[in-house]
Amino acid sequence: MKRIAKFSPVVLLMGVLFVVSPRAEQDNDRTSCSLIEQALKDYQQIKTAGKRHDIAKYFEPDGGLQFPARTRYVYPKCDYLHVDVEFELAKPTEIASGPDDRVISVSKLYVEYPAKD
Amino acid sequence: MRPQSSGSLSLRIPVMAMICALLVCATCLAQNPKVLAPHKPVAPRVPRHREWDKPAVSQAVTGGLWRTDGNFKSTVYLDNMLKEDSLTVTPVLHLANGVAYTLAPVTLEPSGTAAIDINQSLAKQGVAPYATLSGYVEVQYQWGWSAICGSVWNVDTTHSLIFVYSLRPAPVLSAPQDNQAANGNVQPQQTFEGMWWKEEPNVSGFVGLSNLTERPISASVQTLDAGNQPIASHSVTISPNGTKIVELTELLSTTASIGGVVVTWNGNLDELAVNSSLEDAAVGYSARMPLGVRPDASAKVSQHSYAELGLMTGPADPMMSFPSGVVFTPYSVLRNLSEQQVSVTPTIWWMQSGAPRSAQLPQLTLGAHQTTRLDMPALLTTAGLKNHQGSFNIVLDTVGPKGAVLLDAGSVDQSYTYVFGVVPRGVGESASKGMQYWSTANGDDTMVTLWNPADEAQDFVFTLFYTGGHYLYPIHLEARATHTFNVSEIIHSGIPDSEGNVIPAAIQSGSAEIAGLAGENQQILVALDSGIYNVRKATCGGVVCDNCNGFISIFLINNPFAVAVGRSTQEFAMAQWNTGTNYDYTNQSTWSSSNTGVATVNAGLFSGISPGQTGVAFTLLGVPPAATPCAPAGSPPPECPGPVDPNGGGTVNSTPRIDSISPTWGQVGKSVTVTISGSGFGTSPTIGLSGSGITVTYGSPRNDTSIAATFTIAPNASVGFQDVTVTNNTTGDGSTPTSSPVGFQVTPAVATPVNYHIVSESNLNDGSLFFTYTWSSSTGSQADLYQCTIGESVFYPNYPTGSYTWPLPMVQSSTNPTVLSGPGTYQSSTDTNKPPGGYSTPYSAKSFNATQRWWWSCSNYNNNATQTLAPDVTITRTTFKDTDGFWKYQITKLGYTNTVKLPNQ
Repeated sequence: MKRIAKFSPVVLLMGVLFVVSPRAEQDNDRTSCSLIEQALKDYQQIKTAGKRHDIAKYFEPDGGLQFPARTRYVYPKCDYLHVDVEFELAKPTEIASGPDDRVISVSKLYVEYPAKD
Repeated sequence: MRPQSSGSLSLRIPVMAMICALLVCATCLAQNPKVLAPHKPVAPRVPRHREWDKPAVSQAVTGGLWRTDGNFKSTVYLDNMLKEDSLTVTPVLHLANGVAYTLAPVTLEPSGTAAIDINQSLAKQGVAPYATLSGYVEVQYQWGWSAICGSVWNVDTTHSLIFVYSLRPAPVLSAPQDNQAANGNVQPQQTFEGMWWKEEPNVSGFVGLSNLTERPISASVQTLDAGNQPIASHSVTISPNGTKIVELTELLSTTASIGGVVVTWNGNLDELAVNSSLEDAAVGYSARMPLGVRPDASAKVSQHSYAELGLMTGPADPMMSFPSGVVFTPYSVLRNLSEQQVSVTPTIWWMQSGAPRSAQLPQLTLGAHQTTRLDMPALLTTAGLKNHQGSFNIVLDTVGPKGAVLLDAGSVDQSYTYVFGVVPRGVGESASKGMQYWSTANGDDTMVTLWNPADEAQDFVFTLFYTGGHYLYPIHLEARATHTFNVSEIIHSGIPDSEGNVIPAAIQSGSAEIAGLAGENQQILVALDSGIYNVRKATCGGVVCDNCNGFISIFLINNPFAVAVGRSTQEFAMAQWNTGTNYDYTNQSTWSSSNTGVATVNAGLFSGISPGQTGVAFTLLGVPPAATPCAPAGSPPPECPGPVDPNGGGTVNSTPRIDSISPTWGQVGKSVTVTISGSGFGTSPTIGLSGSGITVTYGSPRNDTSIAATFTIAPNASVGFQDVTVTNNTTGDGSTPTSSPVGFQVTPAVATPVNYHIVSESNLNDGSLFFTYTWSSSTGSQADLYQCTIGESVFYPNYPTGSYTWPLPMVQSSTNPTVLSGPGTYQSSTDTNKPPGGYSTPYSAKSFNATQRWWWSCSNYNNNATQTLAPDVTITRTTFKDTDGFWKYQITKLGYTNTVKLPNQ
């Protein structure tokens, strides 16, 4: 998958401190650091061998082009925070993803504008 | 004062008899038929499409008389009627001798106003600002329709004089007309007829004549007494683009106190700007001297109602801060411009304890060309308002030729210094009405009076437009109720409007509009008058023109347009308004097809019956035309035109229809047998291809619904998409309609993604469009695409910028372009076109487009260069205020639309 830029959590933290948008101000009354800390904690809940429906508790799919076996997620409280997850499809012959798709890899948390298309 | 007219018998009826004849509010309401407020459907507003605008052409408004000297300061006030477009105008000052000074361009923001100081503008041209000069103003600009209105305010604060003259659309001057004049041919004679009256013996008047043409115009001005006997006559020749002011000094010496004035010239009606006033500089008296066009002799006798709002009687309202002791007396003057009698029935309306009261007065009759003045004190006494203090309205119901009655009214104090003029206006149904200018600067305030002529309550919104924003002021008017307010009260209230707007304290001028709650195109019934007064300067100027919002063009969105045989397509009847806004009148129109064998239509939904061409006719039902009726020039009094039923036409081509093409792709250097299925192909259809490198050999079948053909694809054919169309060559009417195109993909010799298409679409509750796509491999095996990538690139405005910030109120930024991709071996993808992350207030109408491009690349083909996977599509996002009054977000793509309400409404 092509990706413009990815950052480590440390870089991410610095990045978010500099990225202050109206949306961030609206949705997040707390300081940026505490939100990042919460995002990291939620990110750590995504486990390899977990299921797609487990991820939905903490993250939501990004907009734009997506593939059933490889999905970009954004953190709902700050949709600049992304994580990419690859799945083993529970029903590979179907074109749609399913809640029981199994997580096989998880990217690092990174910062990017949400895709809206 | 008693009217000097001898023909007004009813005014001589003894007071007691008049009291007997008087019908007081409750009685007259019970006897007269109910006047209902308009209850008409409101066409939905559609987002601004500038590509639908009429092409820009040279426009101008002109004719307002200006005069400067050591005391007179002249200012041009301009109002941009466009609500979403700024407009740059070039003012030109024409001096009395025909010399023109072109001033620096001025840009007016949407709904914006501009004030141009003529004295200072002359100073910049090297002319002393205190020089005694006069002339007229012209304002030039480029736009598709008349979008600027304005007026010239001549104010002498030393003598408390004010003269306000309107600008009007410039005449269309054609060479043949000028040549005709040059050759000595007779030009048509034009006549303006007006009236004068003297509040006190030293009142005189003047008539300003501005020649808007490039040839001299000879004119005469004749003053008449009450019996229409000539008092004096003036003959003048006005040089090209020149101005002459005819002083009516004879009014000082005449024993008459009321009479007429007639201005005649040879030429076209709009070639001479006539501006006239009454004055007595010694006491600071200035008033309009209205002029109008005589009605045509064939004009039908009909009923018309005119309202004179906000007349004052008794001591001045303390809220208006007049000096103590100022006592107002109302006046109302009428002249019959026609050759026929006109009957006039006045009714006085006033508010008492918050409720409307009325008294209908006896009818009077105006003879041909008769001027009369209502005896207001006597009429007020008759109405039981002898001791009434405050304001009231007079409604004059007339029966006579349309345009026959010239009116003027107002209130004047006992020293004749404070003249609070009222512009009589026709009472009738209209859409929203704009108010050109309001001011609270330098001691000014703007008084607005609204009267509900209907026998049922109505709700309005009065919008104040100013630099950087607007403010919504809701007004509820009970049946027949009057509401008067000062604009300063709204500004100083500091109360946020329904959108959270508060007018900044620094704002002191702007324009305004009265409209129904459903929008500017809602039909309403309301009378409005306004005046900008300044107690310190002892001046009051009325806004002399109404901006009657309405349509300036009607059109079909697509013309000509196509409908496939056996299919339907919705066409839309649109009206563009003078404000620039477009409205969809599809469901408020009648439709017809001239050949129902080719296509039928129902409410704009066209169904293709057989290939061919047919005409389309549509008529919009009940749409008011835009107008800027003015006083004093033109047919008096100003009145917004009523709704009309404009009609238009177009052409529809019923075309062959391709339902499917199989297969959808072929490889370079190979031949593939293609089957095209559909309808309306005729008996000898032909296949069209948009590119080169494919040779078509027809097979069998080749009939109305199916074509089999072999596509031989050359080895050097370009990889990518070609459009395939089918043309019917046997319609019988000579036309050869062609189907809409479908894509045929030429692939390279290696495995590549093909047949990329939408499987499903759904609208999500958050406003998203959610698509599912699939594709396959040209080899038949998905695994063969292991060297390929499927992707999309979304290009936002101003690409390439790195990131694009969406226009507020949409709060969002996007990487520009946004590029996303995945392995070609996957067989499906989803695509979610989401709304912005948030919305900022105040909400406003905004729109932008993004272009979505699907592509593939394979490392084993053409150095992994990206290739087209499907044609580009446009994604349009819009925020707009819907006809239900709510702000909404809307996204459209590939014919799919999702609309959601914005939060916190």
